[in-house]
Amino acid sequence: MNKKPIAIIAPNFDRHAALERIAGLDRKALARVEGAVYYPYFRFAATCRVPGLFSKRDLGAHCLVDGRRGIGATTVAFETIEEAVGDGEVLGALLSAEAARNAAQRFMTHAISRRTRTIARFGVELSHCGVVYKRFWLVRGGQHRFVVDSVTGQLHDIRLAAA
Amino acid sequence: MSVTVIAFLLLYYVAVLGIGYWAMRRGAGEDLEGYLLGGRKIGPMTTALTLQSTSMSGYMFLGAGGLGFAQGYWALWYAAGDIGGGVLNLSVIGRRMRKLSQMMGALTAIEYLEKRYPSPLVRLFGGTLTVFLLGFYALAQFIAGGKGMALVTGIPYPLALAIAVAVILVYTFMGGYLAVAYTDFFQSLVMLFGVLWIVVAALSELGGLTAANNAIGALDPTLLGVWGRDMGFEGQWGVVAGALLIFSVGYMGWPHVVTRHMAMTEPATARSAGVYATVWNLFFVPAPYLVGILAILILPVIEDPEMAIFQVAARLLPGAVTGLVMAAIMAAIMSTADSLLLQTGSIASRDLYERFINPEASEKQMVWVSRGLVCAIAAVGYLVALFEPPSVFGVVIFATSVLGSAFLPAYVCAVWWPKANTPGALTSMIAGASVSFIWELADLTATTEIAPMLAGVLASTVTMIVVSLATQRIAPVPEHIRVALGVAGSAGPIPAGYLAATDFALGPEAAEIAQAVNGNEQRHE
Amino acid sequence: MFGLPPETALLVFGFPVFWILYTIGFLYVSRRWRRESGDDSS
Repeated sequence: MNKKPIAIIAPNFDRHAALERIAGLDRKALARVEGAVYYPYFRFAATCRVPGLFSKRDLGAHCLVDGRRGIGATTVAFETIEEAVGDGEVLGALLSAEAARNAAQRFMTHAISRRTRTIARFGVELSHCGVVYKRFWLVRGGQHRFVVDSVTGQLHDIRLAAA
Repeated sequence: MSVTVIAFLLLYYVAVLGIGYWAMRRGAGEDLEGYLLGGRKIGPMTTALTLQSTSMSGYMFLGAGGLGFAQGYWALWYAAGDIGGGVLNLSVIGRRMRKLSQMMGALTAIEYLEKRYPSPLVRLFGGTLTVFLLGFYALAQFIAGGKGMALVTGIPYPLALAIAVAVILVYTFMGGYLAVAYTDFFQSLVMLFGVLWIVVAALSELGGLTAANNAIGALDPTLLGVWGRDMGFEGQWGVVAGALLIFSVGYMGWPHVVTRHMAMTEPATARSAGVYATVWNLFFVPAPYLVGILAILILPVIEDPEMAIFQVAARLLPGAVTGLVMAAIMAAIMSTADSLLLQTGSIASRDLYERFINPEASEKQMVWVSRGLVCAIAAVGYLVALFEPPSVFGVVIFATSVLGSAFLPAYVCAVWWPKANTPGALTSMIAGASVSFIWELADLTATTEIAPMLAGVLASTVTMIVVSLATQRIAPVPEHIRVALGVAGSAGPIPAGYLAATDFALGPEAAEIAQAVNGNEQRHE
Repeated sequence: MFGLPPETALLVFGFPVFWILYTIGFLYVSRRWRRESGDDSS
């Protein structure tokens, strides 16, 4: 299989830790790591003018946009590492960079407006820092399959269409 | 007394600004950034109090007090539902709505509705209706702010109203510093303290609750009964049902309530918020109604029953305390008005303007649209409030009835009934809004003894069920929504142990991965 | 009770009791809801 290097968000949960995450929930069921999938996110550095007391403040933030669904989120600063992964394990981005930028803009404006409860121009400036991937471990637990987020250790079942 | 009151009112605002300033300077760079952008938690107590204080508004201090004064213990039918409104909403839709809105990537309540029931008509109708009714609710806050300020400071009503509206606009367009959580927390504490003081002062003035009730009974025994003054509502269970429903489930029609569910950070928040909501409501929902009732004995005949609480406060509290408490009440009113106007602006610019008129709209244009609409509401609101102010009670009940009737089935079925489809939702919204609106306008309550809220909710619920079932074949619920609701796919239910540990925030990624993995596996067969 | 007729006393005290019980019931039913932090993407 061809392996090419991609930037992934520095993980905290390795294969063994992911397995333990699932196994720990039901000791009687068989748990097994089946592989990994790499999920794309567009990464932006944002500066925003937020109305403050008597003046405006420039706040910096990081924003990630889900590369397949366009959902935005703010995030703490994180490290990335390079890793060589097989083509088949990478989920490609479905959004264009421009669509992602729009999504980020929209999300940041919305988030600030909601928090400050203000209608104003927040002057959200975005700089695009490329696409990063997050590793999700595919883990089987009993009859079900789960993804385990390699950064946070959180899990979610993946419901497959009934055969 | 006016001078003392004004002095303490100003002192209060200086204190609030001071706290805001201190919070900003307190090396709050990281905290503030986190709070503003990332959702760093301030703390459960602060969160709970801020959640609750935004629902204290003009209705509580004018509408509720006025009703208690006019109708006696009948007013508590409204309180009865309201006490549970918070926990009811949180328990029934809170967490599921958060999960679904996350899956669909919806940022506003109206967008959420369109994504769940895909059709531009849902957004158009829902958005327009909401904007229109939010304008009414904002009007109620203007009236409350203007009248309250006029009474307490002695400033003539037109000027007091103008000041109230102007301050609300400033807050909404520039409000950053006033919106820091710490000031909301401080305001809640002052209001809490103030309301308690008013209740205690009123009760001690009258020699206790039993003595007060005996005196009221001697004056007019029907005021102690549950059917209102002169038994005016005797046997009218349809009106009673409306009163119970309006602040228990009617809330679900309000975007600022619904949006709160969407913003929930973790399910545990819903649980603690539910407890705080109930505890807070147990004390503070009945209080204004009670003060209104007690005012029957404390005040001579008053021109405007909705001023009952303010007048009781002015009469019984020391000037300084009146000033502080009035200031906190004003702040609550303005805070509620700000939330409303923010929602209105957001829906108008995003859900209507950007969606239907100018999809390429820039941030600048959207802000112009938002602010333009808010100013228009302020202008119209000012004129209406000045010349022909309706009662705060009347306006709030009307607006909540129509919105609640229109949206209750839509929001509840969105997460609980996978068969609720687009035609069902659209027709139910139209039916609920129309029936409650017409019921109110034609004053059908008088003849049918059924409240608009009850009629509206029945209409919308029945419509949702009938139309959804009838159109299942021609307009089935799209597959991606069924996946998002967790009803599509998979071999059987997920065992409880795994389910308890599931992080629903990963829903979107999980669904995408599921599709990709599934596709691969089918290809490999 | 407090000088109120029985129906009124029921209204005044009955509903609060109902909601307290409801809240306790809600806490019990939701006892397994996850306690860990999720993302805040709003």
